[in-house]
Amino acid sequence: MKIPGVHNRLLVVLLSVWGVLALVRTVTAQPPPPVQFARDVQPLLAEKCLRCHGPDPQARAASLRLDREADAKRVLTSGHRAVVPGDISASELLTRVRSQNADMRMPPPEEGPALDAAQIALLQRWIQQGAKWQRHWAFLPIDPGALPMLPADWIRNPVDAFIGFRLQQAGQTPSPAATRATLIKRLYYDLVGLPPAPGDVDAFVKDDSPTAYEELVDRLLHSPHFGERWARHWLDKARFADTNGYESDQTRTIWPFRDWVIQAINRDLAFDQFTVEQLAGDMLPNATEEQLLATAFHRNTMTNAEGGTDNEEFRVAAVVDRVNTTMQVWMGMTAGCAQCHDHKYDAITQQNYYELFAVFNQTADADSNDNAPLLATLTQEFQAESQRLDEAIAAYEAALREENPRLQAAQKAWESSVRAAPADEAAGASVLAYDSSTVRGAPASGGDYGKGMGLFFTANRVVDVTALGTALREPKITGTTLTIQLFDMTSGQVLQKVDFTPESVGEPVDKNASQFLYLRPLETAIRLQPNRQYAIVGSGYNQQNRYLNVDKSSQTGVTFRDGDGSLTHIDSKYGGLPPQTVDPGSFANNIAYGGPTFKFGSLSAELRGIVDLPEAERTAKQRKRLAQYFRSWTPELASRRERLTQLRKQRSSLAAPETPILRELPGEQRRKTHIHVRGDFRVPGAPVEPAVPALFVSESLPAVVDRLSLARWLVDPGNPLVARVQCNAIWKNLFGDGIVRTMDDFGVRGERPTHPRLLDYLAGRLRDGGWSRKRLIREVVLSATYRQSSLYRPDFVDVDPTNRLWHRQGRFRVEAEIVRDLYLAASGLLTRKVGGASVFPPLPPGIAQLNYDRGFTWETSQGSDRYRRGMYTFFKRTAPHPNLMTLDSPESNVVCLARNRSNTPLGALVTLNNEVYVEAAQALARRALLLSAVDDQDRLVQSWRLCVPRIPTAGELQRLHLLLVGSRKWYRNRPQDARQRVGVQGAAGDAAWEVAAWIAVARVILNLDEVTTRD
Amino acid sequence: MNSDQQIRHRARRAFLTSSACGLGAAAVESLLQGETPHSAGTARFRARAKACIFVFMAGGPSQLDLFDSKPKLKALQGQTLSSEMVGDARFAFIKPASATLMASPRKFYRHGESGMELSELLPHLGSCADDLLLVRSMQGEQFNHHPAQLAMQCGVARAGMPTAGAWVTYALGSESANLPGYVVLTAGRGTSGGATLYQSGFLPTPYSGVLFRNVGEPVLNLDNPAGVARRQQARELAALTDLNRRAYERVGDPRIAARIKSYELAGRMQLAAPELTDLSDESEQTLNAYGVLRKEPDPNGMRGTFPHLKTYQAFARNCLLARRMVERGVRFVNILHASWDQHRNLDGNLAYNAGVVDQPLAALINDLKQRGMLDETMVVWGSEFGRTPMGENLSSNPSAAGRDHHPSCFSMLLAGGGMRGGLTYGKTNDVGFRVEKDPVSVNDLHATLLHQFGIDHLRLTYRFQGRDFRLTDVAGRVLGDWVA
Repeated sequence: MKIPGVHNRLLVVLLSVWGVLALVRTVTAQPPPPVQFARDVQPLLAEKCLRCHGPDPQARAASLRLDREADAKRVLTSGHRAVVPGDISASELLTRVRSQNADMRMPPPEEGPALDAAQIALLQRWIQQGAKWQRHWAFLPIDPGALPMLPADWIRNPVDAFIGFRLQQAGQTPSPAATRATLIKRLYYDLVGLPPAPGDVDAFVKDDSPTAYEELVDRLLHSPHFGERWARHWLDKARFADTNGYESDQTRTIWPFRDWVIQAINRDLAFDQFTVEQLAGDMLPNATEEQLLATAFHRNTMTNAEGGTDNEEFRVAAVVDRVNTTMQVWMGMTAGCAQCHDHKYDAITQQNYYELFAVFNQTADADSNDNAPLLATLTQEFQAESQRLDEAIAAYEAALREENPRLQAAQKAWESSVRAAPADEAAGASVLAYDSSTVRGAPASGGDYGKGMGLFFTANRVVDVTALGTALREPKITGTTLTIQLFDMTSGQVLQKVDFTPESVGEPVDKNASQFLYLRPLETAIRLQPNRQYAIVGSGYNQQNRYLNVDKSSQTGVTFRDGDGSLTHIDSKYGGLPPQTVDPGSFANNIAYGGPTFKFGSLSAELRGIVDLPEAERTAKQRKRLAQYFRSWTPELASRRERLTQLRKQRSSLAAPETPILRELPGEQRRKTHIHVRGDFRVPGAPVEPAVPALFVSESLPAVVDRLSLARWLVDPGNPLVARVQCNAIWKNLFGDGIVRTMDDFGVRGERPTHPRLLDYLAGRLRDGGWSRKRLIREVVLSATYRQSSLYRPDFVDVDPTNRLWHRQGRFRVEAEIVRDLYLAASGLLTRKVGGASVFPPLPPGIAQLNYDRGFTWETSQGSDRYRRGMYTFFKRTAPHPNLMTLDSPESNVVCLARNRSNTPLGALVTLNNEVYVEAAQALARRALLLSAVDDQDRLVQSWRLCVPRIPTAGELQRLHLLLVGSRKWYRNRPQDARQRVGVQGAAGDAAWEVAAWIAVARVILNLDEVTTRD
Repeated sequence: MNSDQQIRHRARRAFLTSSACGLGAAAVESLLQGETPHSAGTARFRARAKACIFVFMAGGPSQLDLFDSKPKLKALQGQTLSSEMVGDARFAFIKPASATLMASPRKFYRHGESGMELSELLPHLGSCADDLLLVRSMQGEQFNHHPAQLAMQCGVARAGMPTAGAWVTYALGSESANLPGYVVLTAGRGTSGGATLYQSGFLPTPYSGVLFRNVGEPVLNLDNPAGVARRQQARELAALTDLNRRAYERVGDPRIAARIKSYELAGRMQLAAPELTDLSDESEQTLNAYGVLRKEPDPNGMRGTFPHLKTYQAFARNCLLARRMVERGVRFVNILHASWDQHRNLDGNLAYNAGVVDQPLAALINDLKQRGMLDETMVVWGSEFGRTPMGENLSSNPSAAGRDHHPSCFSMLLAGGGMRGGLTYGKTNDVGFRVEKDPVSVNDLHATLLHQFGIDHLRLTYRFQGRDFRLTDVAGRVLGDWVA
């Protein structure tokens, strides 16, 4: 027997002791096994009776409760007793379930079918045997019991003892170990979600050292991609998405949380700490930035930014989601039912529910559109990049100031031209022209102009806008935010957005009789090109996020400060029309209503004055001023200025990511929690204090008064459920199914574990092993059970069709993200960068517009970001990427504990025809053609092994070769098809038909079932 | 059979019949739907409907200007509603204390033998009034778009739930071998809910709606890569099938057989979907009846309309496509059209929108009837809520006024699938603020819809997180009065 790990010696000793007991037990002749309440009876009662005779008093019939022993055995108002231990005829329960009379029979016909003979016999035996009650298995303390003893030739560690024992009991044998090629593939898929390189496979297959497998496991556990692979499992539970959800479904910055999870898993952050930091990191003393960031787990709830919503309604919805998610993820239990009434099956009352709700009801977030409170994280990446840009900007600024004879000559020439022209026609004077008559409707690119009033214009020379402003009739903005946006009409892009709020309007820079002019300097100048159309839009919202009635001649005026510091004001007055409330989407029509007035800017009096001064009389300051102005627009410096503008733009768009986090409210702002009658937050019932459901409470556990104590309560060694639920989830990721098949229900209606003692063994290892998930995963993948072949076995078709005995490994399709990763990795396209902001791989047209968030555009990522791993794909809740959804990614609006694994024609079409998958086939073919190979066969084998680790059989090779030859012939005669097939990358050195034929082969190999199947 | 038995049965059939393509068809079909087993609701009633076309008008059309004439509003124009009447109703924008009643400028006419009263904006629908069931007493609780849209689609205003289309397809599957069972068509701009309006929630992914698109290939990824002609495609798929079959023979996993089948089906869908969307075999008469080639109206003065999206033609085409889908065995078609959210400019925009839907919808109903399909095809037309009898933005510019969201009463239309034609059901009070008679909840609507498919809404359940969920949540009554 071989047991790795530190407890080796101890376990061997224990095993031999327990083993003897186990053997004794198996050899003793047994009478029919006694009925076990928890295993046999309770599920039956839960299924058939508890809906009306359970914990929910409103649903309860005949005041009979069958979920609690005392209630089931007491004398009812009818005088009967449902359960009389040992007395079949006195037990009304039996009488009723056996009755042929429709009025008497339980469950009543309208509630469902009668119990079958076996079920009735079971109840009868149970009562005969004394009707003993047991607590629900999931709430009992962790107790793996005796480790069974088995012949040592198969067993590698205790996991195998539990599995082997049950197989032996059933008179069966485990499957032999999978081939080495399959084992390395399995480990790669499970631990890092990537295919092994052929070289790694060969090395592993050849390595006959007894530690080769273990070393491979350790190498993969230390790969940075391990964190990615297992973070994605956790993100399913976190309902992670990049947008707010609901109507406008705007983008939120929450990818730093994804990075946090990846890093936490890579450094094997103990699961108890992992729990505490995510649920209550903000409440830890001296919380670090990382611990604050962890609380974004519960900020993945949706935020409703639709106009006219009640923020409290959706704040409550978010808190409800946090309660339900916490219970699901950590306890494997559904609490949600108790939101409106007492739980029908598990003893969670509505009061219990709102006590839990009270725990989560004290955070500062309140469904505000900006997702406050936010945490700005100065990532290393951000700091390095900002420093680089700052230095580059400084260098270019210096370069623009440099003295240069050629420039001085050009400036002199310009000055003479200015002096020669009348004052208001001087060069550079009229910079903007109003032009609404020719432009209507949406821009060509399909963007839109946002909400508000504005106007179209063109610039008649290059203008660097350095400030945007607004002219107000009132000296202040009150109760509103005024937003000015500058659009490029041709691209539909917002070039700049500036907000004026009551707090931030500042002092007016210029006043005249009727207007107060406010300016907001731009960090980066915006360059307007001549003869290009722009639009400027002003819009106001009041605090309820409602559109303002924009007053005539105020608020929609827009001011530019040109590079020379002169001001140009455009005022979109509504000539003769009544004030309008601006309609979403109708900007183009709005501007057609009235004739905006505008005035031209001019070379400011100050500058004109300097030009008119003889050069010798100018002060140094004046000289500098004039040179500065000239250099701000002269074509001589155009390319440098352009580069500087780009750099400044990069700098300003480089923002430290601000992630929504949890913040506990301070004392005076704390909320009072009431029961919501019928789940309606507007109907407060009795007040409640924070607590966990009585069902789970045991004296050894700490009291729960807030999020932090709840988090600690969850991972307290005395709470058996959390470790069980986590081990079950880990097992599912390594076998395809959980030991408890109902991943989301450890309650009385859930399935019982296939191997309760194994589950408890694992739970104990996790809890007592420093909550290390890596160590647990290591132990499981080192087991012989894990290493079994996944081949189907005819001898089990009837005995164990759903593999409850774990008589073989699981075979299952990998997740949508991993399908993508495998194709990209095999073809050599994959970018293996870990972490960072979400990316935008190609999306078919029309998908991003399914929801009408009009500010949203899907800007396809360029360069290496086009080929990032699937888990980094931007996830928009109302329009998620179809490649993900078709292959069963969760919708990510609520917690997901088990993904579906479908096998549909639409899924087939994704991997056959979707853009990125087609590119992968092209790239794989090119990669194959670059390999050194002696002949077609050799090249085919090597191509195959980039995708499938094992060596193909002769038959498989022959079949592929047939395809290759046929495709060659086909494409040789169809040069046009061949050229199209090889795509934009071209055929490089080879003939197009040859590349096309190899693309055909690559596509077929990539679409093999074996590629996307974890086997 | 319980789920375990089902799997055993399937696994056994699949495993024991590996010869060539001799897989039990039923076994493979069931595997194609995903790995989560289900025991769908037992059919308890005679199925009247085989298919449903759910025309969803996102935004909240004004029932007061389309379906529910309230002459009394003329007399009360400009008055506020009493606080007793308003009760605890919530509004997105208007303030009930100051918002005043606004009469509809629309004339209403009686149509058909039934004398059903419809607005002047719906002349074509008037021509099939005797096939329509007009419900005036719909009631909801959600007054914001997305939650209300979820409620209408899923029976509960909560994310993560399956839509009615997903439930029906889950229960009954598709009758088409080559097309998805649940299809979505859109015209015009996007809806609040986007893809959440046809997702499968906790039901397996194959029960989510498949979007047929207006641009490019009709179904995503339907077209072969460039340079792959049909014969070359056949060559590649034949090789793939051969190789996958070898794997199946070696491994014995019935899922590989299902995978092989899914590639075959994909190939069939590649032929079937373009055939479906190719309207060249439709007569000119049919095309004209639906208005597939009609001109887009001049949008001048109609703010909030999007002429470049060619909504008139797109919606007409979608109605025709819906008929073609049902003909080919698609179970549930969802036609989405947004832009009914008239907080202002109600008169112009409602006329524009009514123009979008009136002719094609009437043509659809008539066409189904002529082809003998209406009896088995239920057409539903409705939205997430209706609009207030009080005007919105009246004071600033009365001619551009609109109405606010109003879930307390709104109207829907049904036709076919065993529904009683010519029936006007339910009654609202004389200002159209509250339901006065025969209130109908969305759960009632769904219960009745399922009933027409022969499904008991109490028995169509799916266990998720330990609870047996239903489309009708914890409510729902089958409305016997609606059934012909």
